[in-house]
Amino acid sequence: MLNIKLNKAGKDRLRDVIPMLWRQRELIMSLATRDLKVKYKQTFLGVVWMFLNPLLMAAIFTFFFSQIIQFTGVKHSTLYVLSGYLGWYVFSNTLQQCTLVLKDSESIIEKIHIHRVLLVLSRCLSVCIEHLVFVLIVLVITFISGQVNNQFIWMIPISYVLSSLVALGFVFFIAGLSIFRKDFLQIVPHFLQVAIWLTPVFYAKEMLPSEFSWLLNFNPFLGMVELWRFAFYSEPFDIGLFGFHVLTLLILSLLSFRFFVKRERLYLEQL
Amino acid sequence: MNDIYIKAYGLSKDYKVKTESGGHKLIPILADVSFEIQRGEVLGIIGANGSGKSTLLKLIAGVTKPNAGQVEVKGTVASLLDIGAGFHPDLSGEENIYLMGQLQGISKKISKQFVDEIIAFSEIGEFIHLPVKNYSKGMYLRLAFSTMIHLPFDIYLMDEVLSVGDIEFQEKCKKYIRNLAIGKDKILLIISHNYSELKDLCTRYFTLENEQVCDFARLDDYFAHQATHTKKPKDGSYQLWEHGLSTKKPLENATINFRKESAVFDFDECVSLEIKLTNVTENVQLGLSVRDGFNQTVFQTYFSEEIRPSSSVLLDVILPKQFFNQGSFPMDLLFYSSGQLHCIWNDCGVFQITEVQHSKTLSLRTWGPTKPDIQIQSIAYVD
Repeated sequence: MLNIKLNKAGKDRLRDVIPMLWRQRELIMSLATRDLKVKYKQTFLGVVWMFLNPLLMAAIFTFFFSQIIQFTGVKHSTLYVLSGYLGWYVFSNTLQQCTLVLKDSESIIEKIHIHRVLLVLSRCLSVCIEHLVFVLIVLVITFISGQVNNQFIWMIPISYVLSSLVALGFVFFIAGLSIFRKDFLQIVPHFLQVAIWLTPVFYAKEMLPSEFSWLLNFNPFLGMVELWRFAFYSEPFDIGLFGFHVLTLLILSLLSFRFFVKRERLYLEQL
Repeated sequence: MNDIYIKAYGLSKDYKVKTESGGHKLIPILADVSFEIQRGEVLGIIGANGSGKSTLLKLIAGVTKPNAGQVEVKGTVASLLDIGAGFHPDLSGEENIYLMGQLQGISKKISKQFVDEIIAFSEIGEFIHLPVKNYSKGMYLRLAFSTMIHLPFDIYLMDEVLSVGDIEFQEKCKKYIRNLAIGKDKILLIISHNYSELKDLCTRYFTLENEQVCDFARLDDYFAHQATHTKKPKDGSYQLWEHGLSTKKPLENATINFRKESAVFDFDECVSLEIKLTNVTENVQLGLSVRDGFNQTVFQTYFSEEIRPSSSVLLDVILPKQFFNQGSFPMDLLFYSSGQLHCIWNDCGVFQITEVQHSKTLSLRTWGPTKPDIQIQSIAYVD
């Protein structure tokens, strides 16, 4: 039995939202499967695309970074770029898809009592499944190239969860801002464009002139991307710096989640 | 058995509207409204457009929150604020049934028990396995509506949704909703402008006036209330006909009053009007336009006598008895000069016709704004 109590004075607190999410787990799951089903239903190859997309991406990267562009001072430039980009892709794709879901489901939100957090999480779940396939494919490529870092392979799930969580944090921050001003949703692609060049995804940290490279230490995305590289194949890694970056990102994410939950009710009052 | 109820305490709701100057203006919709709805009640929500009926349902559905006060809802809520919201065009009808249920809090396991019933009721047939984007508009709405009324919710919120599909399907829906209301101890809240449809279903009526909820036990009480409140009709809005001969107002004001206390008439009773014109400055011919509850013109006519300039003119007009069907009828006054329409006074008055079944003749319920007494001239049985 559902008991909704809507109260002006009542607060929407994290501790009320989280049990609600657990109760609604069936809905989250079925919205996520709906997303996947709908995405591939229209195509001739269907679910094959879920595997074909990352395979094609990996093929393009392998071709360019083994045949055409070679990094100096980097052990294996294909894997260097591929594993770093994978980390970046998990973050940026989650961010993009989950902000889109808010725009897509406006008509539902205005007619049916449903918390936006549910919609965001279900979309996140569906993209996570796609990312999982990508991760597995990159892992296979790493195995084939013989560069696999057996000792730290267990770090892959950690970096995977971390990137997705950080992306969610950004989604909630932007969603919270966009509740009153839709303009913030427009900024997302530009933010990602800038951030990908400020982070060594398509270049190595060492390739920057030394007067700039210290600035990278203040970019928390560096830690996120380097973690992926470390997990896939042993890449020298500064644990202190990484801890600082990861902690910064996680705290920002948690604050964003709180920010969003509080703004949500203000928005409903406006509606 | 768990109790089902809706309780509202001191509910207030304003809308923030942007003004032309760029600032914001608050438009009050509800002010300090309290009410209680128990299980088994079927509530008809009636009143003018923009009076806040939909807002009230949205507050109960929880898609918007009050600025002050509290709504307490106990029970699962089916929100039919917009039929088909939540349907995904690329999913099949059956998949959408489950999704719709889940969006509104009914698990797939429970929906499964009702799925055959829903498919049969909606008359979708084998199309149920096709994506709903391939459905016709009517099929789409039928499926969405059937889904919502068959799934086991406790509280149903319906915003002008009873006009789905063709007449036959509508009748079927009404019959089903009646059973839902009477047999199963649910709560139904129905917004509608069709009084005859509400009269069959509802046990109680709400209308929204001046940010307050007025509560009526019977539809006739509402009509009586309306009639006493519209006894002095608000000044009709003047509108100059574009192709009129002169831009000058031919008179100052026009109103319609009724000979009796209220504006409620029986089917068997003549509707007697008293038309009052003030400061007529030129020769005009007067016309009368009567609309039905859906704002469709029932008829327009004019009186052959020309009205001469005068400071005050009173006219008695009698509309035929046993002509108007049950419902409410707003009237406009039309002014013609030199054989052309000059100007219109909108909403000069409104009258109600009640209880057709009191009539000795023509006591069966019929559709349409009028119900003229037509006699059979001859019958021939050719066996």
